[in-house]
Amino acid sequence: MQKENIIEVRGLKKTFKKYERGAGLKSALKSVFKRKYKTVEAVKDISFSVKKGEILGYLGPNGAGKSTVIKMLTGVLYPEKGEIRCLNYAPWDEREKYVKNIGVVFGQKSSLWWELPPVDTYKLYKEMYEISDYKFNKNLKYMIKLLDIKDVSKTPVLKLSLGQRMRCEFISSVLHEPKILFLDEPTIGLDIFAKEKIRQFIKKINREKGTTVILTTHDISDVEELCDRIIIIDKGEHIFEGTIQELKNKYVCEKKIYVEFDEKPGRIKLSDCRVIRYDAWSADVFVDLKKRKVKEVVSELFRKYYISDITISEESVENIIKRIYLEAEKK
Amino acid sequence: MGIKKYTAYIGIEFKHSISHRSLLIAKIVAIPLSIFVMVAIWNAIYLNNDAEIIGYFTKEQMVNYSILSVIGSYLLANRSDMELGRIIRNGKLTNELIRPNQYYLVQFFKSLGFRTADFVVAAPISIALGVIFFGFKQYDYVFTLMSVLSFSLSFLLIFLFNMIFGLIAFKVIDYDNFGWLKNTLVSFFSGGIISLSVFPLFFQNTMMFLPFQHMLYTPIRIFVGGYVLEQCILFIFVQAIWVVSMFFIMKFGWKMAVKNFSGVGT
Repeated sequence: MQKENIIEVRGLKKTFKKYERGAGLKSALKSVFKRKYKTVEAVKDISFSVKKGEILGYLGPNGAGKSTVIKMLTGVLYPEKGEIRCLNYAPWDEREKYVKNIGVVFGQKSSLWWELPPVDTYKLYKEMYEISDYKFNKNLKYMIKLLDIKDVSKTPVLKLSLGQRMRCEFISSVLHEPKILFLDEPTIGLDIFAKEKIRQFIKKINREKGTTVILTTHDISDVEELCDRIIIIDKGEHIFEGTIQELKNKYVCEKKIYVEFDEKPGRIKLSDCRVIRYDAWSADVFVDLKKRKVKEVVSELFRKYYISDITISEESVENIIKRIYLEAEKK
Repeated sequence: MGIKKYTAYIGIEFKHSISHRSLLIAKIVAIPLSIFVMVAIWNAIYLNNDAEIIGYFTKEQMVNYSILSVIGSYLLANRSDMELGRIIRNGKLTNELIRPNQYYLVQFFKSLGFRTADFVVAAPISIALGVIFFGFKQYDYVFTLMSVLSFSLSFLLIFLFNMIFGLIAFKVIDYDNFGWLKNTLVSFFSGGIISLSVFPLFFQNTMMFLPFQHMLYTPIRIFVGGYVLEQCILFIFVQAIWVVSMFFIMKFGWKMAVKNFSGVGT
């Protein structure tokens, strides 16, 4: 059965006025009397939709416009043009009702009271989101166990490590069981253990509660592990939309075959391949996927040489995305 | 409206304010110290002046005015404009706008919570010292009740004025200097530094058309018996009109400011 769209965005546009000033004392003094403003198109005619229960990765380099889009989706910013329907609400017009149904985690901004234990903030959010005693206690117990923060929930936030604090931030954002969870760089600066805990947590609430997740991150391993689909934005425009596999199909044009030989192969000759390194017993062969299939090259290798081992690998998703950013930068 | 989600801020902000023990201790010391200084100044002025009444006040009334103006300045003050400037600058306004509440109500209840600590700890100590050392006294139950009502309206008025003035923070990078400027002007024009009654009549008449005197001068003058009953009722009514007007100005200003908020880089 086709899942319903929970977010619908059509023709979204947002521009900002930016104040510009040259370097040096003269420019500084000049700017006191006369200022130069530049209009920046942060988001240009963007359209997309998100299905219920989906985990969408919203990616882009710094300044690409992803945070602006997220802020419009969460009702923080007013769009200049276009239409957004999230859970059938126009986020900026019906902000108070709408935000009751969403949760937001900003990796770089804490929503917890710094001097108080996280549990005090949770109690405040209980009132704010009108969570019943039963649901509050049940969810809190479940999440404390899942994120393994039993001992830290009663320690003042300023005494917590970044990993502990981030886990506490997550609880504050999902206690009310939001239908959509917006995550803005949720694993920034975390060690691998904390990252793992948070990823498991996201997967679990997505699977068990059907929470739709919109994730913006620069950590591609978050994307590979969590996202069903990704959108890449640059200079305010979408430059890719699809699954990780579709990204690979579109952008991966070579695969690498690492070959180990039983006997010295001598000079290696393979058509439509680049042999970029070889020594007496091994070689790295790059296959141009537009011209040849990997299995054909493997067959040719086995036919021509005595092979002891073979490893096929492709370009990492991180590298592909980096290449897409660079290509967009050149345009 | 779901008032419980806002009143919860009183509790959390109270806990927050008493978690800074040094701040609480500093206030317990600072308020009586300020009272001692103000009373000493007025004692000196009355001692070197032949007139028994200065600016409609006897020496006893002026001492009481000074004690209440110091305590009132602390209890009624709130930093909602500075707080707004801070969260716009560090990007935390975004955190506020993703919550299912109205920011101005959150700030109002947070101010109440923060002042609760002062109200239950610092104010009684200061009043007790005022009674013991300077003969601070209550004049009349009716005037006391009316001044309590007037002080409550002052609290609202100061809060709303700060919220309106704080909207400047949406337009400037650093609001703090505007905040200090505003605090200085408000302290002076509200009678927080010197009773407005000692100024020339023209100045006093001009002040009648501005909201500042209703922030501190009006409730204190009611308390010390500086107005007759009819004047008290009239001034409380004027205070209420200012509160309602400022509420609508603040609501409109906030709506426009948030609509044009860009949040770039935050």
